[in-house]
Amino acid sequence: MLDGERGEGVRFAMEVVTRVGDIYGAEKLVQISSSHVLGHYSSLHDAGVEMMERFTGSKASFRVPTTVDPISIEPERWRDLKIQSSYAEKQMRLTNALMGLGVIPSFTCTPYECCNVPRHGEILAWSESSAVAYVNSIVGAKTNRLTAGLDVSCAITGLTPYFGLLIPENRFGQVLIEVKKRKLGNLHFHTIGYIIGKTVGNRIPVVTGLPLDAKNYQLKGLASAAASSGSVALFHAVGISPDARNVDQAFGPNELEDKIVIDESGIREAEDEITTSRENPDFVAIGCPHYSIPELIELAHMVKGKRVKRNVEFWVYTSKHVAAYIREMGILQTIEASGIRVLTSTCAVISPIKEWGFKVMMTNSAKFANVIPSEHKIDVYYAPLKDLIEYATKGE
Amino acid sequence: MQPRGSEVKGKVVIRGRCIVKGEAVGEALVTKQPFMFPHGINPETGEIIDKRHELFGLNMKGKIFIFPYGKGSTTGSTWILETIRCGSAPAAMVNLETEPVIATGVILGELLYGVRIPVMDHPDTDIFQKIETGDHVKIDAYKGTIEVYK
Repeated sequence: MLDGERGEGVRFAMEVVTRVGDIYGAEKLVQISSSHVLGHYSSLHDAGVEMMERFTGSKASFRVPTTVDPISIEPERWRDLKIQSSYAEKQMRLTNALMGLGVIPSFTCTPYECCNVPRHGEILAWSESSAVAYVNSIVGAKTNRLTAGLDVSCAITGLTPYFGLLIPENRFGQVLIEVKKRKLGNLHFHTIGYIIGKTVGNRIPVVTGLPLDAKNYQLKGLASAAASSGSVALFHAVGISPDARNVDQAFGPNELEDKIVIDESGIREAEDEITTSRENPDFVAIGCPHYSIPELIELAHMVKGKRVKRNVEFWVYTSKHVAAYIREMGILQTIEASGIRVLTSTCAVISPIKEWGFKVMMTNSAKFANVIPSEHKIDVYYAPLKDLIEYATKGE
Repeated sequence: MQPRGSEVKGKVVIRGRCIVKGEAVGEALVTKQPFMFPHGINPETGEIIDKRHELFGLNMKGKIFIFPYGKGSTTGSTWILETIRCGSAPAAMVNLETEPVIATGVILGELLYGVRIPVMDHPDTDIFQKIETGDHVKIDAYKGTIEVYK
C-alpha cells in the first residue's frame, strides 16, 4: 500500500498508520474488525474537510465496517437551530466525503448499541473517547483511543499499529476504586465516572461495588464521564467487565498502585464541584452520550402531560435510528408534545449553539457538564433528570 | 548573530527522542502546564485562548513550543492540522511525552501541506529548568539535539 499501487489516498493513509506505529514502538500492524471515526466540522475544521476530500478524490474507501460520530449540524433541521448556511455547507462537504469513503451514516457516539456492535476480544480502530471506554471496558473489545485523522487512515487500510491497549499485558488494572454507596441512581454513575477520571488520569482503574444489574446506559454514563474528566480508555468493573470476574483477574500480575474509596459524601462533593451556577437555567440538555431507547421511554413517562415553560429550551440528543424506533412506538410524540425537542445525529458539544445566547445549561450528563463551559462559555447546573423536568415544567 | 558551538558561554545541549524529524530555530515558549489544543488555540492566528492556561494571550506561531504533554479531546490532531493549514503553527514542539494526538496532527500537516514541524520528547534533562521563554533554541530532530542559547 505504501508504494501507491492502490492509489494516492491509500498510500497517504498507510503512511500515517505506519509512521504513528513507528513512533510508538509498534512491532507490527494488525487487522481490525471495524472502525468508528470522527466527522464533525467543529473540530475537523477546513483542514479536515480538505483531508477527507483528498481521500475521496483518490478513490480510497473504507476496508472495514466504519461508523461515524455525531456531526455539527442536525441534518434535517439545522435551519431551525440558528445555524448559518456557510457553516452547514462545510459540514455537508465533510459528510459527503465520508459517504464517498463508504461510511455507515450512524452519526452517533453510541454505535455499539446499533450498527457497529463489537465482540469480546476483537481488535478495533475507534475514536470517540466515550465509545472507546465503553467497548474496551464493558464489551471487552480492544482499541486504542485514536485521534481524528488516524481513525480514517486505519479504516482505509484496515490496519492499526499494535501498541498500547491492544497488547494484553497493558490491559491489567493499576488502581483500585471501591464504590461504597448502595442504591445508585443514574446520575451517580456519571458522578462516579467523573471522580474516577479525575483521580486516575490515564491509569487503568479496577472498580468494585457497582451493582451487577447495572443498566448498559448507566455504564455508558460512567464510561463517558471517566473518559472526559480524565483520559480513561479502559476500566474494569468487577463482576461486569468480561475480563474482570474478580479483582485478581483484573489486576493480573500488576501491583496495586493506589486505592481510592468513593462514598456518599465524595459523590455529593463531586456533584457540587461539577455545577458552576444554579442561576435560572435557560437551556436543559440531555442525551450525552446519545440517549438509548430505555432512557427515552423513561423520559416519556416522566414528561407525559407536562409542558416546558416558555423561557426554557429543553433538548434531548439521540441517534436517528433510535428516533425512528420511538416514533413508531409513539414515544417521540409524547416527548415532543411536552415541548422538548428531540434532536438526532448531533450534540451540544460539537454544534454551534452560540447564536441562542444561553447562559446556564442544566444537564444530567457529567460529560456535558465537564466540556460545555470550555467549549461554549456557558455555565452548568448538574442534577438528576427528575430535577431537570421539575424545573423546566414548573408553573406551566 | 548566531552563537557558535561549545566555545559560546551559556549554550546547553539536551538530547531527546525524535518523534517527527526536521530542523528548526526560534524563540522558546515554555510552560509546565499540560496544553489543550481543542479550544485552547485560535488556529487562524496561533493565539492561546484557554483562559485557564498560564500562557493565555500569548502566541505560539513560529515559536519552539515546550510543554509536558497534551490534554483534552482526541480531536487535538485536527486542531493542530488546521493551525498548520493557516500558517500559525509553532516552528517545533518539545514534550516530556508526545502523545499520538500531537504526532498525528503534525504528520498529517507534513503529508497534506508539506510543512515540516520537528517534534521531540523524552529529554535527558529537566527542560523546564534549562529552557525559559524567550531563550533562543535550535532543534535538530535528525540527530536528536536541542541547543539552548541563553
